[in-house]
Amino acid sequence: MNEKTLLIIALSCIAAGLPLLYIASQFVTADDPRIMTELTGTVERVTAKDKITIISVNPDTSIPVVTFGQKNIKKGEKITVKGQLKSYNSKLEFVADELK
Amino acid sequence: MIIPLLTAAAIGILCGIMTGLTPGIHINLVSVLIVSLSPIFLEHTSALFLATIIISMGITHTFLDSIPSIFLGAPDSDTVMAVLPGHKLLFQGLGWDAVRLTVIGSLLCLILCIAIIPLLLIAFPLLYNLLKNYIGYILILIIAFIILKDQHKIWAVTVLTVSGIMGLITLNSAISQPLFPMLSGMFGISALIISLFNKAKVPVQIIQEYVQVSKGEYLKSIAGGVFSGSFVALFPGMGSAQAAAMSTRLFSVQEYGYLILVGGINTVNFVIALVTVHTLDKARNGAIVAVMEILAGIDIYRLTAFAAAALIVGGIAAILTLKIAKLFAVIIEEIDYKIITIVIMCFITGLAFYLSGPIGLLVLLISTAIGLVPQITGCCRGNAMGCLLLPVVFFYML
Repeated sequence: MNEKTLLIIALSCIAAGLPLLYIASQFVTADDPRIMTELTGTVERVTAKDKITIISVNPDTSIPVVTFGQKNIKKGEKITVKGQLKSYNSKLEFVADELK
Repeated sequence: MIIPLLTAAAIGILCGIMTGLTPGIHINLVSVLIVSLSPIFLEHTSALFLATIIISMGITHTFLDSIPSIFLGAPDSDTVMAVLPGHKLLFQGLGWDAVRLTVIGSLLCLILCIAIIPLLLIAFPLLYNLLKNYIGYILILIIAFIILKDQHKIWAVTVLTVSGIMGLITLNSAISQPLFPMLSGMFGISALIISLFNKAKVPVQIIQEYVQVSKGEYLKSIAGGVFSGSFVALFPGMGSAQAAAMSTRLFSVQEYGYLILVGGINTVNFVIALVTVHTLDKARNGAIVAVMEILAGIDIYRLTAFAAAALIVGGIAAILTLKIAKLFAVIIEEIDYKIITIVIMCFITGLAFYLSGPIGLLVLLISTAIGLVPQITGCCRGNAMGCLLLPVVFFYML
C-alpha cells in the first residue's frame, strides 16, 4: 500500500465520520454526570466520629455525606454540599469539600 | 452539539499526541487527571464533552505510540510486542515503513471494527456467557502452542516460566505502576543493552513510496487484529500485549503482517471496549473506566457518536502519525544512536524510580536480566510475555 492510498483511506474515514457524528449529535444527551458536584437537602441524621462526620441528607439518604472534622450541624437543618461522589468499601459516599 | 464534540475531539487529539509520543505517559494517567478535575470542568462543560476528549485521546494514542516504540525502543504496555520487529526494521533503514504498517493496521482495523459493531452488539452478551468459564483453559492451550512452535523449547519454557513468576510477584505486589518497570526491562532496556554492545548504528532511513504486503497477509493481519482486539475488550485480565503474543501464532502472520496486527489490536481494543460498556456494562481499560466515572452510561446514541468521533480522530491520527514518523526518520539519522540509547535508558530508569520507587528499580533490573536471555540463547523474545500470560491464567483458574 502506498502513502497516497493510505491518505485517501484516512480522509474517507473523516468524511464518513462527520455526517455520522452530525446525525448522532442530534439524538445524544450531553449531561448526566455520574460525579455529583452539589447536593441540597434536609439533614436527617448526623453521626460524628473521631475525624469525620457522616450526614444523612433527605431526599437521597442512600448516599451518606462525609465531611472531615467535627461540624456543627443539626437534624432538620437545610444544607448545600459541594463535593464529589466517591466509592469507599464498595459503597458510594458523597465527600464534601464545602458545606453551607 | 456537533461543534462541542468536534472541539473535544481536537483537544483529545492534542492530548493523544502528547501521551503517544512520550514514553511512560499513559492515557490512563491523563484520563485519571481529567476525572479528578471533572468537578471543575463540569461547571463549564458537559460530561459528554469530557468523555469525548478521553476517547479521542485514546484513539490518537493507539496510532502514535508506535513511534517511540520503533524509533527509540521505548515501548509502553500496549506496544511492547511491536518493538521487536519494529526495531529490527529500523536497523534495516525501514523504521518509517514499520510505523506505516502499524498505522495501516490501526486504520483498517478501526474501519472494520466500527463496521461490525451492530453484529457485536448481539454477539457479545452471548459469547461472554458462553466462554467466560473456559478462558483459563484456552490460554493454557495457547501457551502450549507458543512453546511447541519455538525452536529452542527448553529455553522457551525457562523464559516463559521465569518471566511468569516475575509477573505473578510484581503484579501482586504493592508497587505502583508495576507494568512500566517490568515491561521496560524485559523488552526495552534489554534490547537497548544488546544494541549498545553490538555498537548498533541506525542506517539512513529509506522513505519508500510503497510497502509490499500480500493481500492474504493483509486479510490475516486485519482479521487477527479485529478478532484479538475484540477478545481483549470482552474478557478481563487480557491486554493488547497478550493478545498480540497469542494471535501472532494463531494467525501465522509474517513480520510485516505482525506490525499491522499489533497496530490494529490496540485501536480495536479501545473502540470495542465501548461496545463492552454498552452491552455488558463492564469497563475493560483504564481510560474507559474514567469515561464511566464521568458518564452514567453509554446508550446507543452515545455509542454511535463515539464511533463516529473515533472514525474522524482515526483518520486525522493516521495522517499525523505518518508525518511525525517521517520527521523522526530524518532526525534519528542525525543523532548518534549510542547517545540516544544511553539517554533513553537513563530516562526509563528515572521514570521507573519516579513511578514505582526503589522496588521499581529492582523490578527493572531483574526484568532486564530476563529480557536478555532470549536474545542470547536465540529463543523467541515473545516468550517473556509469560509475565502477563501466566498471571492471567492464574486469574481465571484460581
